[in-house]
Amino acid sequence: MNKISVAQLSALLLSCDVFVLVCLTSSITLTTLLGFSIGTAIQLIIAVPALFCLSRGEKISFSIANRWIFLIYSIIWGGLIFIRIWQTSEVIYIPPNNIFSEKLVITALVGLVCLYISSTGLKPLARSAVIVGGFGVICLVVIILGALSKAEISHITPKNASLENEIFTGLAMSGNIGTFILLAENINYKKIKTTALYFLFRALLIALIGFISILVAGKINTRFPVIMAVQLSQPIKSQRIDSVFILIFVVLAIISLALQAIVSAELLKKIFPKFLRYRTTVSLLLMTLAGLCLSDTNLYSSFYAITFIIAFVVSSLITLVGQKGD
Amino acid sequence: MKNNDYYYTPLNPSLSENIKNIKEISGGSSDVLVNEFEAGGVKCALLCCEGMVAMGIISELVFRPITHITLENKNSKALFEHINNKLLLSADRIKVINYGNLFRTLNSGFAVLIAEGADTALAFGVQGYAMRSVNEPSGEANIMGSHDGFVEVIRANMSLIRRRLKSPSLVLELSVIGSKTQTDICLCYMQDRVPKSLLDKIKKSLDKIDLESVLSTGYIRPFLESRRLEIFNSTGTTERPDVLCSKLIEGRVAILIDGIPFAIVIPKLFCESFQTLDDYAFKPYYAFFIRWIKYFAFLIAILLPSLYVAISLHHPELLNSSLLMILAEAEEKAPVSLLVEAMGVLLLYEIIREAGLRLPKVVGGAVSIVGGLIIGDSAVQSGLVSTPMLTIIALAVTSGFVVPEINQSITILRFVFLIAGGWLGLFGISLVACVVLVNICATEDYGFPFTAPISPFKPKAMRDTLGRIGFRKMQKGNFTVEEYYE
Repeated sequence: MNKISVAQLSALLLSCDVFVLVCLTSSITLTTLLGFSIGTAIQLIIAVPALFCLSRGEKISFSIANRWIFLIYSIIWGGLIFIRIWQTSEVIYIPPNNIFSEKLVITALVGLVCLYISSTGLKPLARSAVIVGGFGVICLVVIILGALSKAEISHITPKNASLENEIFTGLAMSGNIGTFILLAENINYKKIKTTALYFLFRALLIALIGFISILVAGKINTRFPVIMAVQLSQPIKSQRIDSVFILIFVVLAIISLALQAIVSAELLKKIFPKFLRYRTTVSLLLMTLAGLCLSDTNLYSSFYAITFIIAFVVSSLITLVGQKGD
Repeated sequence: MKNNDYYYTPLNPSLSENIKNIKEISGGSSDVLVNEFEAGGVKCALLCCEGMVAMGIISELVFRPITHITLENKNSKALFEHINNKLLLSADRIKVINYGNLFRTLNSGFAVLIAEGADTALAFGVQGYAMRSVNEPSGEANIMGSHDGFVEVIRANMSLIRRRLKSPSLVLELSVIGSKTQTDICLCYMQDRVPKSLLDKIKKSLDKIDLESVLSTGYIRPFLESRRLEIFNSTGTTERPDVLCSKLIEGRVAILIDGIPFAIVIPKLFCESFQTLDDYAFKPYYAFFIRWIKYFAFLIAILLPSLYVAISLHHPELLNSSLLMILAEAEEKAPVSLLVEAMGVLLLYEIIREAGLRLPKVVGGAVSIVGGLIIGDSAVQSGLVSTPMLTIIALAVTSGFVVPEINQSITILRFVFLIAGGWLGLFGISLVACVVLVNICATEDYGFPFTAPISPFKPKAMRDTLGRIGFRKMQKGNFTVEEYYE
């Protein structure tokens, strides 16, 4: 895989994290934010063994077992991203088609775009993420300005939400941690600084977006609280500017999926060196299949949270054990 | 001698055989003049191409001195030695060793002297062909800068650069490409600024060119760019010597081509399409304003028609009520859907633009009247096209002219976004935007990312990208393009 810079890696992963957060279908409260923060801290702790291996020059993806673990993880996470795209398509509005179902049209189009993006490699995607990140920051500023007039402090009333559930929700949304560990191998330097910066910005971003959602849409019963908050935070009273947000949102979705497609294609290449062509196509098809199989599951359940934790801890242990064996 | 076999064939020491071969190779061309005479007791012939040489200079400065030569040893070697050491005849003298060289110099406006007993010839630079005078460039007008532009003669262009960049580090390397046209090209660079790897790679790319003819920059550019499909050209062109000098000082390489008043610049960055020399003549705050006007104009040019169609067709809830009523009333009478209407108006505009470009200037006014007033006005009054649609398209195409260097790509992208927006709404526009963005980010030739300095982000470079800081601060930069190398 191409070498990318710290800023590019952070932009890539933060784009994916923002996309996942925007697709959140459960209500957001202060407890939620606290749970997410604790979840982020747990992820940082989980990442320590992997970081330890990486700082010693060990490659997590070197062992066959780890390659399989991350391949399966990547395909499952890609499937979950597909599910999120299908769910939010109701809000985005895809024009109806009399011939094919909406889900099929979305999957096909998004898949084609991801296929093209994957063919260019990781570097162009990383560069695009930086540019999209810049636009995203502008959008965030606009949303904050729009939210100022709509925010109600009374929305910040702690609801009866289980902190434990919110922690699991936060962990289940953190599929990108695996991608982070894999891509951190491709950074030339400052792995510890990269990790610290990424988690810090992630926590801040989640807190900021979550807080805005609470203040603006805290008491509205909606399936997508973040999207509702964005729709309500219009800075210009005479004209809505949702169109810009929708454009950015879809781009974030594409970046998230394309990243998983590139990572899983790379892992397929390492596991099956003779598998030269159509790796990305196979990855996307497997992700679609995974999405279809898991579409009825709760995306924020403890199952995913615990699975991701175990996968990353096990992979780090395999690397450490393998190193000691040498 | 066959026409194709002559190139590397050495000259014949026999004068009459040489003349016979030259006439055979040129097919008895009427403009190849052969003047046989004696110089210093040696039989010679002076060859030139009618219309390519200055006859007055040849008569006064070549024929007159050369026919008055007296030699001790009456042979061709002594004759050529005498000319080279004592007579000179021209500051530009080339030794010709084969028929390929002979015809190339002949067709470049040189007078070629062949002599009995010599298997080489001497070519004298006495060019006198008709050439366009140095005028303001047609495509890159500016207000505060110079009004010089490149012309079709490569040597004149070289002098325009040399006059502005008096540093001895400026290197102008001539070479030839095109097996039939034998076109002169000049590689220009500052040897103390240019990255050596860039220069070597460009030379390798030029060596791979195996064309018969080179008549436009478009013949060479594909060889200098990546084979991958790139929406925007990763090599730049300019018609202005002052712009070219500014690029050379930054360590870039330029290629001049004989017969073409444009220089190719490598590498090119995407943000440079929005920079003009006028930006550096105005105050920084005005330059900042103009720079951002261009960025917005670019987005308007490619996205406005598609956003209008997408929102009107698929997302009308995003429009405020007054605007929605205006658009609904305007589109009520339109016989076709918004997408077809937009495509039709855009295509009509492209036809009128192309017609205006190709037809003779004397009827250009008629096109403006027919296209603009009659078609535009009549179409709106008859209800075929709505006024808002015409306004949107006019705004989009006018915005495209703000960045003329990338206008071709903008034109095509406009259509692609329009189709995507009309078919799939904002979702479609987003998908195409992703593809375009990644394509731009993937454009990277010779190790220089096209999206630098935005991505990879270089904070220092933002002073001349997001705006334009004053020269007092900029003079401390000593920027070269090597800073962007990856």
